Amino acid sequence: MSFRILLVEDDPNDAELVQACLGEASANGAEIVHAASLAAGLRALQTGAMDIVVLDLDLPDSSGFDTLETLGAASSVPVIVVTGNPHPALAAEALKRGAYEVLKKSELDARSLMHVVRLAVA
Amino acid sequence: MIRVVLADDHALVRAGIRSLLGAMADVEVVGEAASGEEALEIAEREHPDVVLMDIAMKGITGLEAAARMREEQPAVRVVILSMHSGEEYVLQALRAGAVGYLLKDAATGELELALRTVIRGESWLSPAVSRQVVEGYVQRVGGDAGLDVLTARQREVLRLVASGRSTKEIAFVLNLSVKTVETHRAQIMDRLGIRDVAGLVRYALRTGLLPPEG
Repeated sequence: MSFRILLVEDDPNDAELVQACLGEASANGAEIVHAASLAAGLRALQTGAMDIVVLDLDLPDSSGFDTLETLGAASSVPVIVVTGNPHPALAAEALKRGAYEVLKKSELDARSLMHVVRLAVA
Repeated sequence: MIRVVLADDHALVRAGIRSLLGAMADVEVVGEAASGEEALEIAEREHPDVVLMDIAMKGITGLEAAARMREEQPAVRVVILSMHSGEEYVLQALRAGAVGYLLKDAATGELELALRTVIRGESWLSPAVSRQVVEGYVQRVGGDAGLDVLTARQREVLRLVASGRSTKEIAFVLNLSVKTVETHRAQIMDRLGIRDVAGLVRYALRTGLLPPEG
């Protein structure tokens, strides 16, 4: 399981939650790179070969679908959106705008996230 | 002027179409026939540009009349009028030499589009018919969109849909919202050019995503 995951999340607690869910990946050799803003995420994408992005849409320097679209325009790496917004329409719209999958933070668990990550990098 | 012969054994249908044709600029109905034989006779006499031909008429059918018209008067363009959108009907009509296939429930504007298209030497198939014919062709030549147009996640959703799981069940299994699953399904259908769940099941079986029963 040697791949690189870019986690773009500004909230330290949420970042910790996602990293905990990705524990199996990191235990098996995957590298998790954490960026706390879109700009930092874009820099990480440019400088390091990422295999997948786990993305929070609302960041200090970008919000909503702009975040997804800016990242999507910069790279073709699959993007898993992890959102705190429970509105079902948000997930549908994010998928239409190119997200690989959309998972809710409130229902996030290691099994679901790792399953999607494995599918995305397969 | 586009000179048209109208062949249909229902007088009211002819009257309706005649009325539509009468409202079009540069279109003239030069004869009406209630049978295939009559259509051939009128066409021989009037040398129309187009014959609008019903399939199901007493005596020789519209398809037979179209085939004979191709032999006897190849300059005449035959547009079949039909209630049937099935691929086999359409292919029979095209084999018989028809250059157009117009569904009787088509929008009225389509009649004029069809006429003006065939007059330019091109073919016209009602949109609903075109789709079915193209899909049938694609299936026959084995031209399914490959599974590689789907992401691994979409293949997973497709397998669950094709195996008969409801959207709610899939949402539960994958820990997603129902809306998310619905969106995945819509995107899968869009990428594969498939319009219904039955089509997804057939596709999943053909591509081996779903093992055949038994």
